[in-house]
Amino acid sequence: MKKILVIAFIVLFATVSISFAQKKEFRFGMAMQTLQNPFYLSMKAGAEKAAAELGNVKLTIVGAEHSTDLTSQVKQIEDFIQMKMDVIGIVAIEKKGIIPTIEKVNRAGIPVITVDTDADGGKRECYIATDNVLGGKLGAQWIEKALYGKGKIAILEGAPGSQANFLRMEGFKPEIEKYKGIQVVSSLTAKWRRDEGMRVMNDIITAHPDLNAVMAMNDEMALGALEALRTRGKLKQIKLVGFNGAFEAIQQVYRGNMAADVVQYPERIGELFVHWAVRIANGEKPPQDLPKTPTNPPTVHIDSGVAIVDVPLLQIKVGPAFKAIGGELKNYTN
Amino acid sequence: MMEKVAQPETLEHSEKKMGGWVKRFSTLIGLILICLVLTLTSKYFLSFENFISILLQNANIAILAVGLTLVILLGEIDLSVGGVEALGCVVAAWMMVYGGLGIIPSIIIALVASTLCGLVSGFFVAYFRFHSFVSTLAMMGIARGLALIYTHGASIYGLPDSFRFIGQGSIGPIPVPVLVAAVVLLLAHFLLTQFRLGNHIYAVGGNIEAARLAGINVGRVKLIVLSISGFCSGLAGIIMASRLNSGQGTIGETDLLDAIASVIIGGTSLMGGVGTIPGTILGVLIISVIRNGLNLLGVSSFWQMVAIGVIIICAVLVDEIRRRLQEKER
Repeated sequence: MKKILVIAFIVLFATVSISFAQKKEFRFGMAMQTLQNPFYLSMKAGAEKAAAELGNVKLTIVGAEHSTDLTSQVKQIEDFIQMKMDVIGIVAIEKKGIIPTIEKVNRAGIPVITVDTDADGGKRECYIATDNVLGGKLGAQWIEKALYGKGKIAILEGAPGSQANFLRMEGFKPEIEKYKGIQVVSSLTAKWRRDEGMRVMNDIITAHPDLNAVMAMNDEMALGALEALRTRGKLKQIKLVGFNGAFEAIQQVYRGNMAADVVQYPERIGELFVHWAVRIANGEKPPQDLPKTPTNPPTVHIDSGVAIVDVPLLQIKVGPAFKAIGGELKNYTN
Repeated sequence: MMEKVAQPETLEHSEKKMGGWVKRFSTLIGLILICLVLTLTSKYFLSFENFISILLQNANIAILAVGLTLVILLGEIDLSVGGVEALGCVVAAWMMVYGGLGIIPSIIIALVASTLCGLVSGFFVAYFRFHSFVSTLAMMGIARGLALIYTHGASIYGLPDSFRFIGQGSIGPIPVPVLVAAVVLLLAHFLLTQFRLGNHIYAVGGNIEAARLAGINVGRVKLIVLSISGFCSGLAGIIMASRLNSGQGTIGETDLLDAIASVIIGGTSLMGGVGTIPGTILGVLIISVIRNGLNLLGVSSFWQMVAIGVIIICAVLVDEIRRRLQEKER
């Protein structure tokens, strides 16, 4: 009788401890600026791929209804709190206006990770993004080389309240001002949008018909500007540089319609979010010795890498092998 | 002479109020059904915190909907509510941060500015025979443009800490914006049911020529109502400034859609003369619950747009069918 009891007890103990040893399921919510931009769709795809590989992560990824209207993003994040998410990822539409909402998430005890574009306050565990300042600098350096140090350029800026825009301009403007032969004739916002990019580019061409290059701070605006250049017959004259690494833009570089693109590896950003969210949900703290963001309070910046690709790189140096380049570039075909 | 014409009016008026009850009943059933479905599909829906969250998130829409209800009852429309909301938000923030003014003076100035917007729209509608669509469309551009100019498209931040109480504080378990919305809804309800202006609004909306013949100053009614709508938009904007702790010139685009949808779903007819504040309350609740529920289910905002469009069609369809059935009975 005693033997049976002991065996039963051991079996019970074993089953209970096995069920505890099984991996816990994590639920993460990600509030993106918009799902109407291929850059963020790549990011979403990367996050979903990482979640599928891990197997115990349930992702809810949403985009705000208007990429500039903060209120729908606020509602989505507040509803994530109601859903008792383990970690909330935010691509902040407006770096100051999102702060009270981040503080609300902090009060609810849920860790916050800012992704791609940071908030200027509130407690964030880490910020996963490209080094936007470096990206801006790379764009400026490329333009200087491509124009042999002389020419007129225009800038298509992103939404004014965006931290990403701020940082990219921080990298681009001081660098381009170093080159005395290069003149910035126009710097206008196209709010990250393709239709605005087309409209603003059109107006800039009208005002400055002898333009030599355009730096667009994201690929949606670049692709819109591309259509304007095509319609006005200025594709050969004006070198168009984009920023994001969205696959449609890379295709245009490969075809020679765009001159260059600053690649951000959005899929990798999505993957990094999931991996870091799991570690943070398990109680880990990101390494505090990494560079910190220029915000208040600052937070650890996890760099997802940045590079610039141009026509020679894709067409000549790499050619058909460009499928093998890391990140989402390997999905690009002819 | 006033009494002779008043009699048929009051008969129509009370019939419309009766029709209002039936309508409200079907809208209430709709709301209950939606809540039931959401309770069954999402375990996070039915909770006190979620309920409070829903009310808080949509308090500004409720306030916008109050102004819009009065406007639509007149048979007019106000497209500027989103733009004026943004302007109210920005003016309040600007006054506190750059104007160096205290909280109360800043709020007053923001309310004056937004009421002025409504007054200007109303002026052209009342005395120059502008269609309110035209007048408020123009005002929408002017208000939003000004809001974006003063924020340079970004935001105005550095608001005083005590200002946060309006958008982020609560009295007991009830958030302040919800209390403000409740007060505004109550005042509007009293206006429509207890005051002569309320009667005039229904009269003008129901039959503008009869109202004119009855001696109602139609122009003045329109002017007052559009000014009230401006005031409400500004108030909503001030609440948002506190919720976001900044002046944002970009808010209000989705709010316009949600507010109009709420008013229509709540049973107010675009033709004018038919509608109530309790109906609007139900309409706001339906919109709020749908958005919240779909968020909790992780449904993309694209589907939310579809859902709201479908609900608008259903609500107005039910209305039209009921109206035809009522006519057949006569």
